[in-house]
Amino acid sequence: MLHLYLPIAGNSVNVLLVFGLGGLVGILSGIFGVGGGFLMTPLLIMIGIPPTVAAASDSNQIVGASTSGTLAHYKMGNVDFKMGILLLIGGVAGGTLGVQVIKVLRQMGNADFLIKITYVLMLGFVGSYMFIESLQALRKNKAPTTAPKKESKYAQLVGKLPWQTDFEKSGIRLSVLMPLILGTFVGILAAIMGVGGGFIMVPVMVYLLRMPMHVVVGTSLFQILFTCIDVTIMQSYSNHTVDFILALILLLGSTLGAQFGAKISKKLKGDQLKILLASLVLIVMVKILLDLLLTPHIMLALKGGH
Amino acid sequence: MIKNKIWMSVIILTMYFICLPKSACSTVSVKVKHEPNLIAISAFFNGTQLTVSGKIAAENEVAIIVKGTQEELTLKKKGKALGLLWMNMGDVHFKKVPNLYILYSSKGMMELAASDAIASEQLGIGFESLKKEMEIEAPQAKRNYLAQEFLKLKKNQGLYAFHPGEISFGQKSGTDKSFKAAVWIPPRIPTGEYQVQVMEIHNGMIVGNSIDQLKVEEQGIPAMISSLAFNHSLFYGFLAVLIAVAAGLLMDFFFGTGKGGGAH
Repeated sequence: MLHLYLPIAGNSVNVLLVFGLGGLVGILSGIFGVGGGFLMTPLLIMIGIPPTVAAASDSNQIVGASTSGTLAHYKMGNVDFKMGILLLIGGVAGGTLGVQVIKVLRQMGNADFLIKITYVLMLGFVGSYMFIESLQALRKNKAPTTAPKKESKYAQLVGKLPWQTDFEKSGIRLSVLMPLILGTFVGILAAIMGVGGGFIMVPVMVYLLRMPMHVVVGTSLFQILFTCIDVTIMQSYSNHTVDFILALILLLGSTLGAQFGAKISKKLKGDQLKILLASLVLIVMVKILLDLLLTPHIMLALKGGH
Repeated sequence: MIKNKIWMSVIILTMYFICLPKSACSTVSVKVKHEPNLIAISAFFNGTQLTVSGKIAAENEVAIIVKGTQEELTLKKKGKALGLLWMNMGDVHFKKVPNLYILYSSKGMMELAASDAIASEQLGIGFESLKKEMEIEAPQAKRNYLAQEFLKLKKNQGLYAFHPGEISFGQKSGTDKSFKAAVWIPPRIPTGEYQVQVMEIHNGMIVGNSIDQLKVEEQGIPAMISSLAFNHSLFYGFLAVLIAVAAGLLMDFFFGTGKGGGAH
């Protein structure tokens, strides 16, 4: 088996294994518009990569995968650049704010416990809601009954906000404030939870911005691309935790995977995509819950990671 | 003559006190050779073998320790929050722990000395002696437990290991016999200076000793990347991003649909 030595991680890895791992996560990324850090970081730690290096190198890898995925989705007309940029601006502001919030929370003590519980509950709620909603939608499609859409309180409120503008790719008209505010909200949450935010951003775009699922995937990837460029440079600069060799093997797999993922995504209907993503979110929730409930093998761990 | 006798007793007494701590009086230097003297970590490094060989008295046993520098380490401690959920519950600081501890011996610990504790006491080798040496910032009652978990973590990483009975002996020649061991150096070994110590053991006592140096350093591509990452970190970050974007563009070019624009 071909092994390569990773100078920053300080360990060697099996090239084929890491390439395959990259490919798998790339496919998920291309289908659902998530970064895949939830899956990649723990797997990398499992094969002997220090947690801090695993998380940082993964964001370097996501830069490659989301470039590939964004391009593939762009060609299918699935990237709403206007929306993406507004969400990004909000996300950067939120991320900066979130880092401060977490400092305050940590000082109050027991913050990690609250964060973990909130994350599990949120994944559980979002996953279940998405699952049930898309299941109902899929059933409706089989027996088409065109129910007239009621204007909810939420829609009325959103309609009253100033600076309404058209988002052509998404086919919606919204206030500029909406993506800015929601982007900030996701940015804060992502910083507090210590995750990339794809799992939070995608449902927010689907349910709160009411964007079509396919455009959500492409736009989410576009947004993740810039977030991860920022993270990669910051981690390289301040913590020296990006292992370029590791990222390179991963991204050779994931950029390829993202292309296939985008093709798979194109073949699926919006509601099918939603129900699959909902299942994935629920699986991740169960995994985190099990980590919390099962007795660890070793009672000590290296610092860093998700 | 009397003067000479006094001098002799002084020398003998001094020798006795110098040698006392490890009860390793009259240790002789063991003839040892280890290969290589320098471990080079290159692009395809995946751990390596260190061959340690030499000669000892025919009736004796031998132990080999490859040991790294002592370091301080802060780890996360897991505990139950609200008596239900396993979480990281604060940090534990460990001091005086070697970054590598690989022990090979010609026989099991019990056969070298009467027990692990005695081996630790008389020979100063084995995990029990490591546990004694390390300092843990924790209440006394929890120290043994934390030391145990620490050893488990290090063994899991392959950085601490004990291989009893994995030193082979050759033919006797006169009163001597040769020994040889293939010491496995794990891929996770940090760069730096290491000590290769060989101990000749007779009835649970060290009768011969030899300490040699071993150097581990990165060469070629790993050395280049490390230097870039630490000395030109901003440039390294930009380069990493640039190459990732380029890989994404290339993959799209080769495997993408190739159609521009259009709705789905």
